[in-house]
Amino acid sequence: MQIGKLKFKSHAAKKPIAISPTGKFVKTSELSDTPSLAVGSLHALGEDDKVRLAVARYKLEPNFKLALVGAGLMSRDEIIEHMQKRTDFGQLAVNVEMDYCNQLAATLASGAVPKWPIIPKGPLPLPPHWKVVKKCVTVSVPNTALFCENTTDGVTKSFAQYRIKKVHPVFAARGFKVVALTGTDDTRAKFVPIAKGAGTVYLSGIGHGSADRYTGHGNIPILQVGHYDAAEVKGKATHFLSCQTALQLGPDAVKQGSLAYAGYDVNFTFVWDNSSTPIDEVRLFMESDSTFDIAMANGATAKLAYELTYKAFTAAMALVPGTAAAAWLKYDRDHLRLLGKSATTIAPSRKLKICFPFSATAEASLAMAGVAVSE
Amino acid sequence: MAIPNIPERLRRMPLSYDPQRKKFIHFDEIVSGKERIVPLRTLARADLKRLIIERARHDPTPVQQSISGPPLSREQVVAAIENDEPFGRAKVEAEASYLDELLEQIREGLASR
Repeated sequence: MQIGKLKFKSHAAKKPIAISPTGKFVKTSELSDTPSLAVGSLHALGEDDKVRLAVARYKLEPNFKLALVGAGLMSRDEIIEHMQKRTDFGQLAVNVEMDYCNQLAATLASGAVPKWPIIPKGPLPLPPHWKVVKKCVTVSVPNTALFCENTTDGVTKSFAQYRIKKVHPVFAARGFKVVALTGTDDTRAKFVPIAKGAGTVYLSGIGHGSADRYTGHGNIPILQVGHYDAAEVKGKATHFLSCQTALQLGPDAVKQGSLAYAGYDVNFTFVWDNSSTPIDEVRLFMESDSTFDIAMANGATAKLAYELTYKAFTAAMALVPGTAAAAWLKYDRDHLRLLGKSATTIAPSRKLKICFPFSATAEASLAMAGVAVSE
Repeated sequence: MAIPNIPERLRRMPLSYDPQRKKFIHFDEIVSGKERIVPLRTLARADLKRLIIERARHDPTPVQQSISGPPLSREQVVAAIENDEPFGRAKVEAEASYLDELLEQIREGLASR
């Protein structure tokens, strides 16, 4: 039987759907013809009227068995009995009928037939109000360039000051974390924990040295063959402006895992400034040597940094032709040694993946709460 | 290639040495064609040392120094070479190596004139 846009079974069409203000049952067909009768909620009826309406509807239903999970089967008459006795189940059944009648009345009044939903084949996009909580995040952490600059010695002080002013800022500008051990802090005790740090990628400085050692404040060794832990140099690039360290310390550092080592295999020799000339001779030595550091900071391979340093010494020689300065610049240039992997580069930062310690239970709880947990 | 421009104040420092005539050869003499370059590799060790000492005596550089050594005046540098001290030996090596390169540049400059 067609009522409005809905097709009813014959017994269903006869069921009352509401109660008029005068207490009479309203049939479905009457409601379809007069939508104003549906105004108001059946839940506003008195309890007696609700039971009366629900029972009237059930009595027109052919006998059936209602299956209740955990309680067994119940016949139509048994349900009516529960309604009339107003047991918990009876009240529930009455309210279910009132809910449905409300819904049916609204549908008839709107004239629209609810349609089956179309189930999407792919995953639904996240509703915009859901907050995506990443399980893992990747952050960028700065790497450390560690400098051991001997500023307490008359010979090395001016070189150290030059390097602090001209070299360290290049590393800082590139994003490296610059740690400079100077003064009485230029010691092995200060050096070791920083050198062993996971993010330390470059070691450098000016200091006294000999074949097997590089020293700091008070000429006390910072790195000495046979007296340091491999972790202090492993995976790092190193350049010391010092005497002779490329003879034994450099090869030993590479053997211990240093990626690259640049140093001199003779005494690094220079001339102090001759005030009677327009050029500051000692500065030529400083600039030439620090070319290696600056090139490394700027991302050059150790090989390219070495080649640029060689060219810097050569260019410096051309500025003071025929002088002792030129002879010593060539001497230092020709005794600069690059050991280890020539393709070594250093980066100002590294990527670090941090994963939150969510347990499976916690994830499930978050999912139930509407929080999407994803990688 | 242009001839390296050796400053006037450095031209008293010889660039080469003729052992047969026991004569130090200077930049101006080479450039003017008055003297020919005697290659340093042909010199005996003693003659090479003689040349480097002569250069050091006329070198206006006030102080030379290794990072891990003491500062040396001109007279001390000369003494270090004469006494065959470590610094003196390094000085001979440095000067000889540099002079080789400088003389080659001068030779090429003269050839291209």
